[in-house]
This record gives sequence, C-alpha cells and structure tokens, in this order.
Amino acid sequence: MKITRSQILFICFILWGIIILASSLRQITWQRSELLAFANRIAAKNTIVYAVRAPIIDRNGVPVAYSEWQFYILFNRQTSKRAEIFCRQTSIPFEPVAINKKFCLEIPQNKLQHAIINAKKNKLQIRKREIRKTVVLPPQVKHKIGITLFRHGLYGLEKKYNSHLQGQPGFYQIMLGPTGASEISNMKIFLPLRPGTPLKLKQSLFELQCGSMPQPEDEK
Amino acid sequence: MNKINNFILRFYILIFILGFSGVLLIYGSRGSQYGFNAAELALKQCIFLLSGILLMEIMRRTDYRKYLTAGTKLFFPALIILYGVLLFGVKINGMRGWYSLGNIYLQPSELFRFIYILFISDIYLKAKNKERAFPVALIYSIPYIGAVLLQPDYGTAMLYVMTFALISFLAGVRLRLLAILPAGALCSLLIFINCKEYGFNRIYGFFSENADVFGVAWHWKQFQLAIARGGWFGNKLSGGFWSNNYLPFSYNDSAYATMHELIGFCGAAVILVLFFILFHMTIKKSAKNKYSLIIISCIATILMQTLLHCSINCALIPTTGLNLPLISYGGSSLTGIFMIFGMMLSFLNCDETEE
Repeated sequence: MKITRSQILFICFILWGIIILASSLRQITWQRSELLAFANRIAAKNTIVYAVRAPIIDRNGVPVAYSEWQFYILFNRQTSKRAEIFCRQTSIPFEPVAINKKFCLEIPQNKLQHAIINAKKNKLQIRKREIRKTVVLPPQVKHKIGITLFRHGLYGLEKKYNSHLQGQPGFYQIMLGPTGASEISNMKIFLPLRPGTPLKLKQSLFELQCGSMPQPEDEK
Repeated sequence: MNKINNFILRFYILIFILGFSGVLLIYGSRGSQYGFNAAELALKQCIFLLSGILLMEIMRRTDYRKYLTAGTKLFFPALIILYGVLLFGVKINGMRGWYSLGNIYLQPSELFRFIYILFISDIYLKAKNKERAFPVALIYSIPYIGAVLLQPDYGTAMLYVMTFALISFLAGVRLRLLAILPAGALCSLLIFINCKEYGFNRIYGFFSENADVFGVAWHWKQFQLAIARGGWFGNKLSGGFWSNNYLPFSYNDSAYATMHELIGFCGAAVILVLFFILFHMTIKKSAKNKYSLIIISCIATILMQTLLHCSINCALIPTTGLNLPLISYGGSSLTGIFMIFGMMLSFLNCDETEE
C-alpha cells in the first residue's frame, strides 16, 4: 500500500498534536504545583481586614460613641502640583496636612467616587481611616466612656469592652493583576471577619448628657 | 448527492461548534485589561461568525472554475493592496497591517490568504514538472511574504512561509529541494535576532534556562501559568483571572492558554480533536478529487495555524502573535478563514458537477 503525501502530512500533524497535548499535560500534572507556587508569588497578596468597631449605644439604641470612615488623598511633596490641580478639579479646598513627609487631604463622602477616578488618573493614593466619634457629653461622662487609638480602647468602657467592640479581624488572600485589579472569585478566606457587638448602656442619651455616669446593661 | 450533503452538514456543525466555543471563550476572557467590554466583544464575534458563514455559503455555491481563473487575476491586485497598507494603513499594536474604514478595520494579509493558496496551488497544478514550478512559486511568494514582514507581522509571515512549504510538499516537490526553506527561515531568523533587540530577547527568553521570568521570558511564563491554573477541567467561564490580567491578548493571540484556564485540559483537547476531525473528513472526501491539492492545502493551512498557535501557547516555540482559527477574536481573520473554507467546499463540489 502506497502512502500518499497527504497521509504523511496527517500523521505529522497528529504527532505534532500529541506533542502539544503532552506538553500541556506536563504543565497540569508534574509542573503544576511549582507553577502555581510561582503564580502565587507574583499575584497573591495577603491582607488583614479589620471590622468596623461596634458602637456604644444608649438604652434606646441611639449611638453615643461610633466609628466612621474617613477618606484621604495621599501624595508626596514632589507630586503636590498634581494634587493641587486635582483639588481644583474636584472643588476640594486645598488644605493639606503633613503626615510622615506626605500630604494628606480629607475627601468628603459625596466627592469620593469622583476623587477615586481622578486619583487613579493622577497616580495619587486614596486611603481610608477609621475614626471614633462621640456625641456631645459632659467631660466626666466622656472620660468614663473613653477613647480609642488605632482601633484599641485606651481607657474607660472602650478599653474594658475592647474585644467585645472590636470583633475579629479577617485574614484574606487575594490575587492581584499587574494593574492592581482583583476579582472577588479568587479570594481565599483564612480567617473570616467577625464584626464587633454594640455595647448597650442602661442610660438614655438625655440622662448621659445630664451627667449620669454610663453603665453597660449587662454590668451589675 | 447525498454524500456531499452529509459531508457539508457535518462540516457546518463542526464549524458552528468551534465558532461558538470561540464566542464563549472571548466572553470568558473578558479583555478588560485592554478596556474592552466582554459582552460587546462576544457579540461582535457572533456577528463576524454569522456573516462569515454566510460568505462561506456564497463562495461554496460559486462555480469552482471561476476560482481557477480568478487566482491569477486577483494575485497582483492583492499584492498592491498588501503594499498599500504600508503607506495608507493604520498602526495597531506596533504593526501597520490594517486599513481603516471608519470603525471597521480590515487586515489584508488575513483576507487574501485564499488568493495566495489558490495562486501557488494553481502554479503547481498547471506545471508538468513540479521541480521546475518550485522556483517560480518561490519567486512569486517572496514579494507577498515580504509585504507581510514589512508590517511587521512575523506570525502571519511565518504562516505564509509554512503554507508555501506545505503546498510544495503536497504538490510532490522533492524534500531535498524543500530543505531550502528551513535554511532560508534560519537565515531570516538570524537577521531578525541581529537587527531587533526584542527579537533577540524572545529567542534568548525561550532557549535560556536562566532567562529572567520577570523580563524577557515573561509572556512565555504567563502561558504556562494560565495552563497550570486550568488543570484538568478548568475554572469555568468566570474563572479566567490569569488570562484576563496577565496573558497578552487573551481573546486573540493567547486563546489556547485562555481556553486551558477556562475549560481545562479536557476541553482544550476536545477542541483540538475537532480540528483534526475537520481535517480528516476533508482529506477523505477529497481523495478522488482532481483539485485535491487546493482542497488539502486549504484545510492543512488551517490545521497548521491551529498547531502553531497551540505550540506558541504551550511554550514549545518562541512567542509571536498568531491567532487560533475560528476561536480567536477578529473579523478579518475569521472572514479570511471562511473565504478559504468557501473556496475549498466549492472545489469539493467539482466531482458532483462533473458527474
């Protein structure tokens, strides 16, 4: 039987196809763990996400001390000119504060979306920070409630019920693209985030404002 | 009559399966790193696919004798248009290979592939001595391939060279004579490495084990990572993180690696097997056809392009931009392929017509 050239070609193509499949097979079997480890080295980023600190509320559920996100735009001194143009575009008053050799500028909530788009364009960074606010109270009551620093209660009820209010921070791994783009489907949760529980007081806000000392509901 | 109808029905089914796999792949690969909208890209590909199939049907119904006379008539205008793109074309991805008609971009090197196949096959068909026809076909091919190289589109130029070798081999040219082609390709490669820094980097990145994976071997490594991430069954259509973020032109030049990440080894193997079935049923059908050279050249070019694309994506050969037929995104490429298929099916009708 004489083999034609088209049959020879077909055999060559089949062999070529087998080589391709064998090469792919090697990458999904023997080399896979090594390659995936390398992919993780390039793209995987581990991050801790803190839960927003739970509020301290009066007996009617009105917040007495609560947390709020504040958004800042951060820029180096060298890029301050760019920041100035950006601030003019977003109608934010140009009043930067120097923090660790960087300028920091608060962004109002309603300008945030616009600011994020512009900051990306101008290569500036947007950072958020959690701040703790307390309603207007007499000084001795405010002292009893306490204050926080970097998500930790320094004294008063804020310190005493710190773990109760703070919750549990989450530990995540996320894959990032070269441009910083991420996809939620690729997120791995090592430790889930658990929000803090609000601390309920026995007093109402009015009683506290009149000078009554705050006492948690579960405290005897 | 029934036999040819059965063949055409099976052929169309395979084309539909491959074409719509491409649409799904484009939707899955998203292309968002280049600012594209996945649904928009997939919809455009659907339109290209359906209009391409329509064009293929029109070309299939055209009398094959018209193609035989058209080959010589169309070759020189096509050559002029190919050189014209260097003067009047637009530059996309560093390559001046497209004519711009408003929002529509036409890539002549893709569209005129059927003319090249027809013209070169015709030279061999008319020649009594195949050995003597070889230099003639080579002389005609050089300006054609040169125009593609000047764009510069090395992937398509490589495809044209291999198409020439393939037609010559099928026509019966002695292997000793065909050995000129690898030697010529090697010389061109050496010139390319010497003249272009990125050319050297690509070759060095491929052959050197110590090449910087964050530098010269970056693309080569990304293909491997996408394939490894896909595993046996892939990460579904929504799981193409690596293709979407790290692969260069995931919906086009990296289609095979993207396919691996989305549908895994098993899915990619099925697609590859479908191409082989397409090839096998066509050569079987064309066994007694007097224009079998043209028919087999057409289908073999498509399969060869598929294998070349897969080899690049599997890091078996150095990286260059080459799309996967019927699967990769691109109107010109898809239309060019359907024109080849249309012409091929028309020649397959030849037996029926003569009966």
